[in-house]
Amino acid sequence: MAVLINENTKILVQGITGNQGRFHTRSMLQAGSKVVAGVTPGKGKMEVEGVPVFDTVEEAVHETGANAAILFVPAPFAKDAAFENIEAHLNPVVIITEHVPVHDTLEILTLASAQGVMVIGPNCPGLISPSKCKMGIMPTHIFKEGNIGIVSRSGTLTYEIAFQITRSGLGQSTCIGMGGDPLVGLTYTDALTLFEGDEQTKAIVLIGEIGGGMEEEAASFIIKHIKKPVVAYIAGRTAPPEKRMGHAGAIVSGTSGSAQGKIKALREAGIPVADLPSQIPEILKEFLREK
Amino acid sequence: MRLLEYQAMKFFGEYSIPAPGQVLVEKEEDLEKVSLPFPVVLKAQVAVGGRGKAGGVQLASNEEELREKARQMFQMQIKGIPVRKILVVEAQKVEKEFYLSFLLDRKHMLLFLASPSGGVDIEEVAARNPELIYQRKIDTWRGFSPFEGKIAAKFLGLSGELISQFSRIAFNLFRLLREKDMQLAEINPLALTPQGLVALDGKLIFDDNAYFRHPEMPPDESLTELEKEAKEVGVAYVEMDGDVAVIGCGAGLVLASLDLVNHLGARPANFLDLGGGASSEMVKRGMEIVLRNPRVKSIFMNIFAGITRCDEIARGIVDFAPKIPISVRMTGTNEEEGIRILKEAGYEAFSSMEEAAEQAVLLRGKGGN
Repeated sequence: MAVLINENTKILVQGITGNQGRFHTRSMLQAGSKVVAGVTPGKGKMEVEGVPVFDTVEEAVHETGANAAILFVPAPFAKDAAFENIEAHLNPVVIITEHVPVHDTLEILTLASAQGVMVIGPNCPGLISPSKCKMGIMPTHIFKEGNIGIVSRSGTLTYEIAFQITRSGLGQSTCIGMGGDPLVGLTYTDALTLFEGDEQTKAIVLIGEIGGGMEEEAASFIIKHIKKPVVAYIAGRTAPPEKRMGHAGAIVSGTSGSAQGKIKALREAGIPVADLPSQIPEILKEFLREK
Repeated sequence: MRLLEYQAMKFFGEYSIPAPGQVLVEKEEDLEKVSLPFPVVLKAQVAVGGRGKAGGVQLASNEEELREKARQMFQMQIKGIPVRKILVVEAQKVEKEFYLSFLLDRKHMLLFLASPSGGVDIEEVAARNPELIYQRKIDTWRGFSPFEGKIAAKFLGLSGELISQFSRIAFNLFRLLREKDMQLAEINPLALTPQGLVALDGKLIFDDNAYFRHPEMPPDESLTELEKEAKEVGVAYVEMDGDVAVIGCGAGLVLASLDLVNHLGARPANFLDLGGGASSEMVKRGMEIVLRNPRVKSIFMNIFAGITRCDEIARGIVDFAPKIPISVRMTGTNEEEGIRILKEAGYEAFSSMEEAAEQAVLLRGKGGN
């Protein structure tokens, strides 16, 4: 099963002829992903790593039946590229690009929600359902197919925790990096809902960090809607007061954004919060024994 | 980037948002240019909250007082930041103060906020009297329409001509947010004076990612020298109070590394994120920056390489050859090559972040700086 992507996902890579696009297309193919098309305007009829390149998404979808997209285009062009993929109803649309202006993200997400398309990112590592499909830039070998769902705001911290889970003998159903920008498409609550409905997933890891109010929101969502066991880790307990957007941003989330506040909200919701990443596998094993 | 008040006021002027007469003063001689009617208010231009309590806002009722207070203010440091610029503003007869802002927020996307309780910390209003805050989600494509300002004006208790005046100000502030790529555009307080509504203070937060389409945007004046240097190198640096320097790639993992050092009973000296795909040159410059802090006794470098290459990192360490003990955790892309380079140069590399952190904490006492 897994969530969002699996062996039937046919990936379109937008920006496939750039360095990043080319490198990660190879890595996704090596991981067993079905990368069926690339898009770079003006480079149609080329091939990259054996994958045919088209000028437009419309052509690529028509010719190859691509059903999901991953974007490596530079930030100034990300909005248009995302619009093109959303209008073609590729789903999900994963935006790896960093430094996308937040007003562009606003328009991307508004269009995606009107068209019923799930956007992941921007500024994210993507997602992987080990042994089935990788749609992202994470190192493949640290993952192993299994029954743990992971959702995270961070890139490298996710790799760290996924690797510790793999080394402990467990594996992952799907691992999703949501990205760390102020506006992102898929959120914890979306991922939790998907994992709750996924047969393969038996337990969930939620990885958070300081800033914003998403973790607090996830805590109250879990109480109401999630029956599967969840363990959390929050980075940034000793962080210096971060340069955040300040008061107005905090009003609407109703929280200070501190690690302590998030840990408290999660613990009050009955969710164990690990002090160190290395404690997570043990807590997961405990969950699975209880079942 | 948070713009300084005088920069925000310039944009308000450009967008026809009314504000009192004002002059920016950068040195005492500039006071000659000030031809505002007294009394005037002197406002220190520093990007920190609570400057009023720290003496950064003062009233002067004649020329002599203005000179004296400006001289004192130029000597001041507010929360460690020296005052280099003062905004001199015509004092206003304030009848009432309101709050008005637009912002981008994950939950509401595009949000409009207003409150009859302006001039104070809006976060406190939200905590104590949430009923005093008007909020409305603004449609992305349609944008803000003046009627939405009129609804808010009624909530604020405004009547007559002031309703349209408020709505016009809100409309222009919204245009500023969208056209200038601001994450937050705030007027606090928006004061009711005998001349109508005027913006007495403003806060604009510009989205740094949009610099490429805003050549008119000023550079960030709020960074320290070391932070500026870090920005040029392309790394994120924040100084802290401990003695173990922490370097890594990816903000989340660096944060977790700080927490780990703390968990082991030591204190981190800094946060330094090399970002993804760091070159050996960036590693060297990063180490240079953290060692500028004289408290640093050891370095904990935590590399989990995805897009980054371990051999590139290892070359940076070996080339730089830090004079204080370093403990490296290295795993991921090209780790064999990276570890080989380190071992040949006599450095040890760990595959677990906890072992490497323990080693860094232990090494603090060994080797001077």
